[in-house]
Amino acid sequence: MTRARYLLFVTSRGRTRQFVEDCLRAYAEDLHGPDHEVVVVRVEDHPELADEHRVLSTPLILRELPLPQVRIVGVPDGPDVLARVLDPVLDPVRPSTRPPHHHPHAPGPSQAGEDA
Amino acid sequence: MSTTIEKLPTGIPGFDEISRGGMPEGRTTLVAGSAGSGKTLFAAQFLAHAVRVDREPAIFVTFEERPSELRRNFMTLGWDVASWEEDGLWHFLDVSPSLSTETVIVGDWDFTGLIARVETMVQRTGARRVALDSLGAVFSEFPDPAKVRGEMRRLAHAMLELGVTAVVTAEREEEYGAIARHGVEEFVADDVVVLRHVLHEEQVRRTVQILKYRGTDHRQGEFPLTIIDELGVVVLPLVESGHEEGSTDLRVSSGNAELDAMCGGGFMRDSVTLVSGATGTGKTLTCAHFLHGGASNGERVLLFAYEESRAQLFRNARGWGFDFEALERAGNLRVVTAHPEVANLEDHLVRMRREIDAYEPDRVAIDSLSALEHIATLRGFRQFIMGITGLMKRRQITGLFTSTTPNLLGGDSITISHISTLTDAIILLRYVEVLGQIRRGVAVLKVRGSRHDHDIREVEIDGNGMGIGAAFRDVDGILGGSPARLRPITASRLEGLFEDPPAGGI
Repeated sequence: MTRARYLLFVTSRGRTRQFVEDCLRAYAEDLHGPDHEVVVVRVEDHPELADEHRVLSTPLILRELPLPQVRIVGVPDGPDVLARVLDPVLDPVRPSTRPPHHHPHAPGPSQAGEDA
Repeated sequence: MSTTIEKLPTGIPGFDEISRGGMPEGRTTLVAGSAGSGKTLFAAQFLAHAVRVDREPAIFVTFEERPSELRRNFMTLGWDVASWEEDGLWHFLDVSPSLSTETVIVGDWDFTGLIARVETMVQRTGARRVALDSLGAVFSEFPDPAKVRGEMRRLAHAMLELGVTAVVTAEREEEYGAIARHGVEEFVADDVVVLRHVLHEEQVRRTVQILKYRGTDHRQGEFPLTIIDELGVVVLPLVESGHEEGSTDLRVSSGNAELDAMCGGGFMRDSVTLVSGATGTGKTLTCAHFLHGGASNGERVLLFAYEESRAQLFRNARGWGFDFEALERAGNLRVVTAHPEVANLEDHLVRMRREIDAYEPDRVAIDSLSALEHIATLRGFRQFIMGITGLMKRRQITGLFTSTTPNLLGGDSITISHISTLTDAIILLRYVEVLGQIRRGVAVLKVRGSRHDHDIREVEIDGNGMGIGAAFRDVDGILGGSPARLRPITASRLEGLFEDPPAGGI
């Protein structure tokens, strides 16, 4: 059984979703190695999952496992931000954490139609 | 102004009257109110109307309460929301805060997730009505109000694009201050409805006001509002437009031939008469005559009694020679008794309307208004009188209200001084002290559109009810509460005071 599971809620309008997904994957890989699961949920395609998790703002990362569950709202500056929020007792900056390749600016509605 | 914007009926009794048709179709209306003002119910009722009447789907977006709580609350109104959900007619879209899960904001965000959910649900269900309740909860989740406002504007734009008719609720801090907290009216600026919930002189008073309905007609000002089991939010428009009050010269008997004579031949059929007097002067007896007179003539008569129990009323009526039990058995009399304090005045008015709608009476008596006056503000009380008299006139019901004066020997009651212009006739019942004895008197102060007796006449009460006798000729100051006996010479001079001089001059 997977001991780490993360859901990332994005929409087709969000310009930053690829960046957030990269951050999340980098963070999870660094912390858990291959033993983790990252599920990217496009709200338009799976509204029932968005309903179940009461999605209001996006991007939204939901750590389901390990417990406790935590919701992270917004675009992090990089994987280390996720580490600081999700694992505050660990060393906040990991040498092996990969820097994000690019951090775009604020998302806008004009990008509707992009694929997740 | 002619109405070119279509409006959707709300299912909120009275609101479609003051809004001249309901909610502007295809737009978002902001419903702002303080805590407990009925915002959530207002929004839900707008949706429930579509579900119940047209079997049309509707979406309730909840930012604050969980659907389970809302479902339970709505059930108390008799709405089987759970079965509506099973039938695919009612849809909760839950965006309430997740209290059990820690939430951390790490960077830029937007509401495209919510917008996508709403859009998907509207497209999937075909809903044309959406409620969003309440925006204040969203502002408390995010640290930057300006950013939230910007995203709300985007949400409002999305609703417009979807073509749905939406009701958005928001909190107010002060009843007569800014429209809504956080300036949310900025993004739904077209239509604003304000619900108020004011505590004044220990009385709660609810009102509704349409502050803005861009480009479309509506009635101005505040209107009383109440919340009642089974009905939900009810607005009391006081005077309904489009229902011209009829007028008639037809007379009906007051149930007492002498009183009929004093009033110029009975009461006008669509008139409302106020009977004012101290306790024990014969107000309830006048009511009993009025009711008995109608019921024994085959009319349907209805009594709202707020001072005495049903058993007391029937016993007293028996003592005056009226068999109320028989009239009730025959279906000509209905008696509704209640303690004034069990509800606010608006609730009483709604209940009265329901009784009148159900029983369709020819006559209605309220005994007494003074009992109801104590549970309302003066303004609320006056509006109540406007509401009930308007209703009775529209239905051409003959009405009789009683009012108790605070002093045994006369003087105005607050009731009479504030509602006298709203009634068509006023009858005063007074104690009169003559030669060391207490006697009773009756005077007809006014009968709109009719001549009437100007004498103050003696009243006797016995097993046959009220007997009206001769005028008091030698007593002055009865109405002022300080009767004084006049010497016969003075009385005779007074009688001749306004007589024409004899022919040939003085």
